[in-house]
Amino acid sequence: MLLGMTDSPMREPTFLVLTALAETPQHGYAVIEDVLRISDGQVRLRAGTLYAVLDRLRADGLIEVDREEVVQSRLRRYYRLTALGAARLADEVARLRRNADAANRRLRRAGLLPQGGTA
Amino acid sequence: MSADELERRYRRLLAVYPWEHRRAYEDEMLAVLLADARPGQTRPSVGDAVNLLGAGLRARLRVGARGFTEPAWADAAAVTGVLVALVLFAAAGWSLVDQAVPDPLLPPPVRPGGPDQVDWLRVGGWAAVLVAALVGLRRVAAGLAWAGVAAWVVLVGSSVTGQPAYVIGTLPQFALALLAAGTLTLPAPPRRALRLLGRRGLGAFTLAAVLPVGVLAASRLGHPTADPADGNPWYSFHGLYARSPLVILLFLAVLGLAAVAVLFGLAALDPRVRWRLVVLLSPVAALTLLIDTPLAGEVVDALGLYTIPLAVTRWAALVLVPTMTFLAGLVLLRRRKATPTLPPTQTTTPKPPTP
Repeated sequence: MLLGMTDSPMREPTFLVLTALAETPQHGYAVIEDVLRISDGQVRLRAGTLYAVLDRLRADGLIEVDREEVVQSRLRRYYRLTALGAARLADEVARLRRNADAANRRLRRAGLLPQGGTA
Repeated sequence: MSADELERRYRRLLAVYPWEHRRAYEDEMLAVLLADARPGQTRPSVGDAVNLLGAGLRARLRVGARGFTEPAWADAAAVTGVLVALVLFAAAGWSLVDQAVPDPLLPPPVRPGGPDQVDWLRVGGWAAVLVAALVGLRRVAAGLAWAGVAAWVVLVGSSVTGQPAYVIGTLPQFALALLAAGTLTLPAPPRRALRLLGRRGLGAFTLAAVLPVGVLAASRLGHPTADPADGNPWYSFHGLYARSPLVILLFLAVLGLAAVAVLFGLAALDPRVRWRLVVLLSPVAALTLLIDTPLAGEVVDALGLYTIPLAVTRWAALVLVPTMTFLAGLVLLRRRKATPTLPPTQTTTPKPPTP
């Protein structure tokens, strides 16, 4: 079966941005810092990449603007996850978990996992 | 001061984004970029600059691609497919007449020996494309047009190394065939082009295509001979021949009528379709003009004794000039669309001064 746009696997920046917004609404710079924390310092989004992701997620209805503030004469726009975005993130989490579990099982069966380790 | 300098430079980089994106996100992105800057930083980092330029250009491409999904482009493609098939049918007819009744002033060794199977096939093929497109058999029309493209590649394109001037001379027809095949391949409701053109519009364009071929045929059939024994005077004007200058004037009047018919047909079209049609045809017009200049075509010396081979830059010009013309047309179309229409001015009658 062909996957539709919304069913296709998410790119990592998209997944991390949705994850950053899952708990609480955040503004752009806070999302960048949160993604860095979530990815254990592995992914540092640049502004161009972040706003390409935010624009696409807004267009797809996965996130929406929560509120706007002006701090030190600079605009801060807070984004939050929509119900559709939460469902899409949950689907992606399930998909990644299935794949990770499958990889884990095979590594264990092959005896390639370190003692007590999980892939 | 350094923050102002940095902001100014970031704004310059953000200008690469389309205006819709800038309107929605520029201030916000600027806030993020400045919050992420080091103290005392005056220039964007190379990483940020590359990231913004790349993301901005991708956003521009997305916006551009989204524009092509507008129904007006689908309508323009349907009309273009039919009209280009009509032009190619007329061009094939012209070529047939040229072969059947050759130019009287051509010396016998270079005079064509009459139309061959390919000439008849061209006329029949483009007539079939035209009829299929008009009656709603879009896929049949597209398939036949692609067959025409393939035939050019096999029959003409293969001689590019031996006869580059001949190949380049036929490039506008190849470009038209490609345009017809491409536009007819795009999905459209049955008979959409006919509905958009209207019977009068289609009649006008058909007249405009057929009249020049008729003029050529009439000129050649009534032409004077190159026989020195023929003492009757004859007149020539840009390839038109006649026994009387009045007939030459009549030919020119018919060609003028064809030009008026084109204008009438264009005027009858919906403006949104009309301007897109012009943009779609503009690369072929640019290619034709380019080939008529010594810039891109193979240069032949004044006596026709030797030819100067095509340089890489000339080949590049043949590709780049039509491409740039098309892109310039898109930009102009976009500006035309973005220009706000002012509401009609309200006229108010000044009140007479109260005593």
